[in-house]
Amino acid sequence: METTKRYALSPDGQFLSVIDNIPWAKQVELRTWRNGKPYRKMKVPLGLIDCVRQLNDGSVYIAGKRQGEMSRLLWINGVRITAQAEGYPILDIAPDAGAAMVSYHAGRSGNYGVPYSIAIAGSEIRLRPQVYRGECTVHDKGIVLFDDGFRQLNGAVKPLVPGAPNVHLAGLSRMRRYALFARQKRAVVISPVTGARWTFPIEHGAAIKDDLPGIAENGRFATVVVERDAYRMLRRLYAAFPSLAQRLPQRRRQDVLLYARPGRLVANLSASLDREVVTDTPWYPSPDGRALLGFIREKDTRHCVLVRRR
Amino acid sequence: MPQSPAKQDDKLRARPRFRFHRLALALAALLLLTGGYLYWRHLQRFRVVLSFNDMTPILEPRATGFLIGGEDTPYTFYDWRGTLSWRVGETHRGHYIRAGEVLMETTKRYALPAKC
Repeated sequence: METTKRYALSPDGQFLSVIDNIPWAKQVELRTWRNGKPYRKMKVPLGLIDCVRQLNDGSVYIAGKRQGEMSRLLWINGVRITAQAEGYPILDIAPDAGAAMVSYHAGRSGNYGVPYSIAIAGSEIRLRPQVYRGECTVHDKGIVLFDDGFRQLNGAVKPLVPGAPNVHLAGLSRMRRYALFARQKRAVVISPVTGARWTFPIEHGAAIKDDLPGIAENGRFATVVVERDAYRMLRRLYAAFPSLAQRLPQRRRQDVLLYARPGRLVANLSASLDREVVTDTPWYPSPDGRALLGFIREKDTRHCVLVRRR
Repeated sequence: MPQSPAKQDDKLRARPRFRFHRLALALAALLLLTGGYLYWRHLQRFRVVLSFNDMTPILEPRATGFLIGGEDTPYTFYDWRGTLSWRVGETHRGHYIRAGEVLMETTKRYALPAKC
C-alpha cells in the first residue's frame, strides 16, 4: 500500500501536524507536536487527504475522503472533530481558514478552483461561494486575490495593484501575507490584506521567473530569480563598437537578486566556478534580510543551504 | 647688485615647499578607507551556515525560522541563525525520536559571491 505523508506547519511555526495519506484506508493517524513536544495523536476517518491547514491555536482543518464516499472537510480541536462539511472537494485552505478553494469539475476543460468563504455554525462548516473571475488564491480575512491584481473583499471586487489588470502574479510568501506582482519594468510587493506595498525596478532586458520569488514573512525583503544576458556588462562596454558586441554569443544567465524595502538591491547571488546557485526553487529571505534559504549544486549534488551574512 | 642674505631667506620661505607629511597622511587615510570598505564588503558576503545533504527536504519558512525534513527524515525547525529549535519525526527504523535530539548534519562555511 503506497503511502505519502501530508504535513502542515502553523503560521507561527509552533504546531506541526503530520498525516499518512493512505488512499484505500478507512482512517489515518493524525499526529501533532507543539514546539517539538507531543500535542495530539488521534485517528481521523479519512483515507485520501487532499489538504491540511494547521492554525496557530492548535486546531487543524483536514479535507479528504474515503473510497466511495463524498469529500469532507473536518475541523479538529484537541482530539475531537468539532465541525464538518460534506460534498466539497477542497483544493486549498487560507492560512487563517477563513476561505477555501473548492474544486469544480468543468467537463473537458478539467477542474478549476472556485473561492468559498468558511464559517462555523455549531457542528457544521458552512461554505459560501465567492465571485469567480479567473485564477486566484485565498488569503487571510477571507480575501481572494486574482492573478491580474484584483482583490475581492466582502463581496466587492476592486483593483489592488497599480496597473491592474496589466500585471501578473509572480509569487506569494509562504503564508500569503505578501504577493509579488510583475509589470514590464517594475515589480510590486503588496499585502493582500492591508494593501501596503513597495516596488523595485526590473532591469532592462531581464525577466522575473514566475513562481520563484521568495518573500520574507514581514514583507521587508524579496528575492527574485531573473534571467538576463550573460554578457550584459561586456555588451555595455562594447557599445562604442557594435560589431564587437554582436560577436558575443547569445547566452542567458539566471541570478538570484535580493531586494529590500523600499526597493534597494542588497545582493546578487550568481553562479561561481564550482558551486552553482540553483534557481528552480525559490530562495527564501529571513525577516531581517541577513539569511537566505535555498539550494546550491556542487559537483552534481544538490544541497539545501542556509546562507547568512553578519 | 647682490641681494642681502635676509632677502634671500624671505624668498626661500615664500616658495611652496613639498609637504611630505601631508601626502603621507592622505595616503594613510585612503588606505584606511579602502581597507574599511573591503572589510565591510567582506562582512556583507553570505556564508553557508547549514548545509543539508542526501535528503529531499520540504522547506517551510516562517518569521521565526524554517522547517526542513519530511518523508524519511525527521522534521526539524531551525531559527534563522541556524540554531536547532526542535526536531520530531521518525528515523529510517520507524521510531519517533525525542524532541531536540541532534542527529548528524554537515556544517560548512564558505562564501558565495554576493555583490550589488
